[in-house]
Amino acid sequence: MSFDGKRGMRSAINRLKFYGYAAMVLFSVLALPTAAGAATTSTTINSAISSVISVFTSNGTVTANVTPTGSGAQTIASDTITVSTNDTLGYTLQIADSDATTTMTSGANSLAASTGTQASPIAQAVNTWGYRVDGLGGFGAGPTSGQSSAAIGAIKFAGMPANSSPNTIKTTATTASNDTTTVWYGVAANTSQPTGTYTDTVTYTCTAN
Amino acid sequence: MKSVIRSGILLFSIVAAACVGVVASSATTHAASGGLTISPTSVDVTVAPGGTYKGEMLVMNQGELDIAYSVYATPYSVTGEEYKPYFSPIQGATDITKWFTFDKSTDHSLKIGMQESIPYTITVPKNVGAGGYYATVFAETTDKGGAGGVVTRKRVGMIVYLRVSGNVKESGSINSWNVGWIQQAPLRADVKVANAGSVHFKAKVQVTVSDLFGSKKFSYERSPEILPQKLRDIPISWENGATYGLFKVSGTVTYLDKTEQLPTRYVFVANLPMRLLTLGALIAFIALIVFGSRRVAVRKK
Repeated sequence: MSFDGKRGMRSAINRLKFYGYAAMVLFSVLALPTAAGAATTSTTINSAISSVISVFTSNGTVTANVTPTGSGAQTIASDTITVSTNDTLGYTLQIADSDATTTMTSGANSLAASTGTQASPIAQAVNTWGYRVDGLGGFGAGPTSGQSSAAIGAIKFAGMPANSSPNTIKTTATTASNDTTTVWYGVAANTSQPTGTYTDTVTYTCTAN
Repeated sequence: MKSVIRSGILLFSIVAAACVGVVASSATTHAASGGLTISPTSVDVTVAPGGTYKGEMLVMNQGELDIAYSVYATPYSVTGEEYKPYFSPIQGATDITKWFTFDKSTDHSLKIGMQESIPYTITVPKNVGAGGYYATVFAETTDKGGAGGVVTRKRVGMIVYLRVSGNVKESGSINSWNVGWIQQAPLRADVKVANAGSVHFKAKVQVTVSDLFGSKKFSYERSPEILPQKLRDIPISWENGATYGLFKVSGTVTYLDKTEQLPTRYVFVANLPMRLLTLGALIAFIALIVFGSRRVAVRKK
């Protein structure tokens, strides 16, 4: 065999060796998952879902402007409270004035809170303000509709309680998703009520049960 | 051709991304304008006299407006069996709000979609007796009026159930288990659990409603806290459940390391027309038996 022939033979053998090794490596790589899969393990996945609760309202301020008449005019406007919680015991929603003074004030002038209560609400008297929630306590089913400076109707309102004695306006016993409660505010005034921009602050309190 | 395919893929990607964006945004924002979300809704902690506890409350703005809010602690107590919450100090009761300190300023603001962790520390004085003490940590919006009308503030509270360790008295009992034998849907039941001790405990209430063949139709499981010297009414309601049928109601209450079996009750669920129909069918069935047996007796004679 010539020198060139021997070199060609060796080269062919080397090539064969190379392909052999490559095949072994490839086989090892391909076989690896099978070998790894043969030893099975199990993983436990734990996930603690935290409890959350949220409260939102449709208005930061409920405007109920009145153009008074001699016999009295009434404006009714609403605010919608939306509560969500994943707490399985549900939630309680309360309403109260933000302080101990339950009148709406405009400088030195004031507009008294209705003398009705949630259990025994009354038709609104002139120069008072109040709230109602359809179907709750003694309010009756409603439905209440908004109105602007119309004649004072028979619809019943309660006075806003002071911050130390809030009223419960909803209690649930399970999780809630965007659960809504509509609170209606009524302001009634006649021409004896001094003009002014009357205001008061109400707090909605929401806690899980 | 390739450019047409590329343009198609690009258009599809944009539309898909927009859809995902819409879905994502609708899932995280509320239709309402402004408010707060907190987590967790309650914590149950044990601290030794003279010890401290450090915790965090997460406040989130998932609304549609930037908000300003304040954080503070109030007392927590309940009135009535329905556990109406009360957040004002009670004369003679220990006001533990003085034990709370907040690591950050109490006035905060959050932009839409943002959240903030509120670290707090509870420091229990050394001379405090063992037992249960309660407070609520509130996050409250600080909406300000200006244009008149009723300004509405929103506050959400995290209830803190604090056990000061030591020689506490743990005592509880099941006061009553009420299930009306005839009801309209939804089927309702209630169990009242009393705490005669000096510290709160969790009562795990498990109730199962099954048909007469034993097939489970509804199961209820809750673990409410029972406050010391209080009776708690735990209402159970099978919402959107069966409107007609005879059902078996059974359950257990687990508290203070013991489990008590609630006596099994049978409940007939039907509205008024169905009750009358059932009664009519029952009378007709009895009449048929009486009539049939009389005819048999006449034939025998």
